[in-house]
Amino acid sequence: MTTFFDIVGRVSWLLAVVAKLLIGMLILFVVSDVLARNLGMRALTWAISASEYSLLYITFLSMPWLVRIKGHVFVVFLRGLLPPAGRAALEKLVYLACIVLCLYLGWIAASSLSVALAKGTYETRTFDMPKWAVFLPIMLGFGLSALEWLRYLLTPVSMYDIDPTEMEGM
Amino acid sequence: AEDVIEAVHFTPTQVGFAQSFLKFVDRVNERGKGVVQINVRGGPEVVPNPQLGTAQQSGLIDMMNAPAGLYLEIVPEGEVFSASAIKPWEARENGGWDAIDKIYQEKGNAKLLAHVDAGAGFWLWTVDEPKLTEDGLLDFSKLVIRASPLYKQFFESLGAQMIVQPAGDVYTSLERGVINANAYPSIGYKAFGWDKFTRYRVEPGFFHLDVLISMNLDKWNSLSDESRKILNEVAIEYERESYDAIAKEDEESRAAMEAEGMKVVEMTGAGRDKFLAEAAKASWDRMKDRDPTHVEELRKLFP
Amino acid sequence: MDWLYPFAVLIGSIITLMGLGLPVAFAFFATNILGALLYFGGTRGITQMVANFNDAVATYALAPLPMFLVMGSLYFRSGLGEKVIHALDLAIGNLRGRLSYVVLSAGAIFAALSGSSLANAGMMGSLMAPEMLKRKYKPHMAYGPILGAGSLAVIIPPSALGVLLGSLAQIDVGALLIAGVLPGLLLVSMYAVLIWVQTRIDPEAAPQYPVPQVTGREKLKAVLVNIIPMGFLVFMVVGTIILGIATPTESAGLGCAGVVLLLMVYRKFSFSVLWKSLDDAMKVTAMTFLIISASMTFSQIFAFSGASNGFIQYITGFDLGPHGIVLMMVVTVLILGMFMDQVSMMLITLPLFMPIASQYGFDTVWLGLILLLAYEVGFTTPPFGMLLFVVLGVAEPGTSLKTIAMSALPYVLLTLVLIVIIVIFPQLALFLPSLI
Ligand code: NA
Ligand code: NA
Repeated sequence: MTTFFDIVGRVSWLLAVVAKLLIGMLILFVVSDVLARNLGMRALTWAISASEYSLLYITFLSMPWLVRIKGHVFVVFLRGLLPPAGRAALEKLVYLACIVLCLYLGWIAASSLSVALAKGTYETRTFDMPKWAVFLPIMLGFGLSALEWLRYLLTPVSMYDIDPTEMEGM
Repeated sequence: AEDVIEAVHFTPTQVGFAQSFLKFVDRVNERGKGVVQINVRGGPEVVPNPQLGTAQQSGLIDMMNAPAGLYLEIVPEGEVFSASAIKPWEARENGGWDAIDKIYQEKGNAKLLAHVDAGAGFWLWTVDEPKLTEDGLLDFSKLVIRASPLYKQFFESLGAQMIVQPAGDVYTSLERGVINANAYPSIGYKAFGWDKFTRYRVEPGFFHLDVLISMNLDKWNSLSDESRKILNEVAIEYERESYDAIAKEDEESRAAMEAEGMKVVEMTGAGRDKFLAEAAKASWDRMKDRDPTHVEELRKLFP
Repeated sequence: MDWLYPFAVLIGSIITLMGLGLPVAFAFFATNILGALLYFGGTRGITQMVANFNDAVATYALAPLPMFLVMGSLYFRSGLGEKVIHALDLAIGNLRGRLSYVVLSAGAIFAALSGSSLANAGMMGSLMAPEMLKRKYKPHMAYGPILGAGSLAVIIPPSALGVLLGSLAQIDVGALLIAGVLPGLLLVSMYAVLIWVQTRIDPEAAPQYPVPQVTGREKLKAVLVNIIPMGFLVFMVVGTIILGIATPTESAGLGCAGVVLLLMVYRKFSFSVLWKSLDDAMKVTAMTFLIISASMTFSQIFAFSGASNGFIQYITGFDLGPHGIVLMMVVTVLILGMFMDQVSMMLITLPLFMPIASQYGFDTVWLGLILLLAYEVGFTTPPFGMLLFVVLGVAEPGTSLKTIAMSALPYVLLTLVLIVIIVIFPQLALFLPSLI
């Protein structure tokens, strides 16, 4: 099981790496657009729409990795009222709920993706973007997040004991 | 039993387009007492603009008031409404309306009721006094315009520079000179405060407002004959009425800005013809790229 | 009271699920699914919600956040930030809580340059908070001014939200923006007094540390070497907007380029620092944007169900006279602001508020500014406060939302005091617009 979740973690990490590269690309796009315009060349209007879509990819490609590193914010004001045994049970219920949510929304994204593929639908911005490419990161994000939540459910790791060493840096 | 239709409009309630739609709704509800009632759920706070097309297609909402340009990805042919100068009632007479309605039924699962607020179009507004070239066309080479998918290709083909930016940036961009021109209808232009910076309006206008009232097809088919009759009657009446009303509003908005010192620059002769031809061409070309099937037929019906 | 049932179900669900420890975004996802099943077309509504994610986050207006985060993080991680703070220490001397004042004034200047609260808080948070905590400032002395300065971005022009409010409410946009200048400055001064009071009550909240005694010459040298080049950065972000080189959205990208250039000049650039900065930015951006995508659908379902309209009409339905009705509007916005983003709130409330305003004959610029302040408060009120989340994202691991929210509380209260002042002295808002 550990091996399985190690592989899941590797894939999550890889998607997060793509997200980081996309942030770098976003900056490059914006800077070159401004430069081009001010140097009297054609503005890269397509790059702006590409930047917009990169925000979508950054959000959902990073989602599973954030589950892994406990990067999604939460509050615990009701949880704090429970006795330790209650808290332990609640914790498992929370993981279960997150798994169900991710599977369900990932499945909706997958079926939207397959409809979009079959119909060849697209979005109209400065260029036509195929709809399936919009649903792709959402499907991947939720699907892989379900597995990351499963790790919390099946192994002793807990989301609620944030260990400073696990989040490097800040 | 009474038919109930859940409706959404595309602008916030206080804006003119929503107000116009609410007049249509009032009239249907008055005439349809005991037969058909429209229940307005709200505007973009309920369904954001980019999702209106699919929300109606899926039946999440029964009726919507929205420009065809908002969901061209579902019905690319909707571009005829902005490209063509034909009046809505003329299109009903020459068969154009039935042809485009059929396309909407097929592609958008939508029944078209009316093309409303059609009596106005877009204008180009500039910060500096624009120069005309020898043939009477505007010199676009100096213009930097906020881009919208609707007219990006058109102005680019005339040599203007286009910049994509969020609506919230436009005010600052005009103030600071990042952009020096703007394309927008005259109605509502002042509400954004843009008129403070763009002191010139360019004649002629281009494109036509393409606001449609339409229904989910399944919902339409489920209505009683009587309901459908009332909706159709009011639609045809209101289409014409709103055309005149918006034409008047357009004129008044422009006059109000001119009274405050806005200048008008007019393109002339061959240049003017080229401008209008390019505007239409941009739309038809894009339609053909997306789906050429009906383009030939529509060209005849929507000159 | 048809509205009360959906209102209670939706708000109750979000509070309960968040309180039980579901991550904020997931609490919203779950509530949205429930809300869609009950009030928003069932599974069609859920499909719509998934499609909505794209419209919610794939928008250029959000692009400054990751870029400013990269900029702030590069600056801090490269060690440049530490040098600048050292220079500030030398220049300012032994003023207690000086870094809090620095954050406040830098945030206010940045507010005058940028229109985005998220970007402002993200950048100030990643630039300054780590250094302040290193110097043993208590969390509220570090996060409070960041949150306070972050919300200032909305009041001090330029302000994308101000422009949106003006156009939605048919208020003269230019007048509304100008109207924010004096109240914005007053708010900055009130915040400064707050910091002074806080360090008076609890001197250890901002501990003094030894600052070497230096000559005026050395001070000047430290300022020239370390602070003046920062002026270059400010130019890249603000100057390019003023000169019409870049839009407020784009200037964030130029800020990043500016830091990279500075790092090259100072020979501090390395790819590992760049990579770490991208990592920092990715974490905060993805967390924040996921919440934005989830909360947007919540607002829609809330509106579609009739809960928001019913609630607003109920609250503003009390006949309380002009001041009473303004109070009710502010209360409405404060309550909605606990659960909604600013744009959704504006879309929901303005169509109902503005007719009331004209009925009472209110000056729309005055009312607009009051509402803008009230909307702004929503940025820092829990459980749903975007600035809280952003700052939590850049805060030390293990920091709780409660800590951040408590840091924001005095700043929120001062904003409310400012609202009262503007109600009593409308001239504060209306004087500058009357000159144009
Ligand atoms: Na600002
Ligand atoms: Na809030």
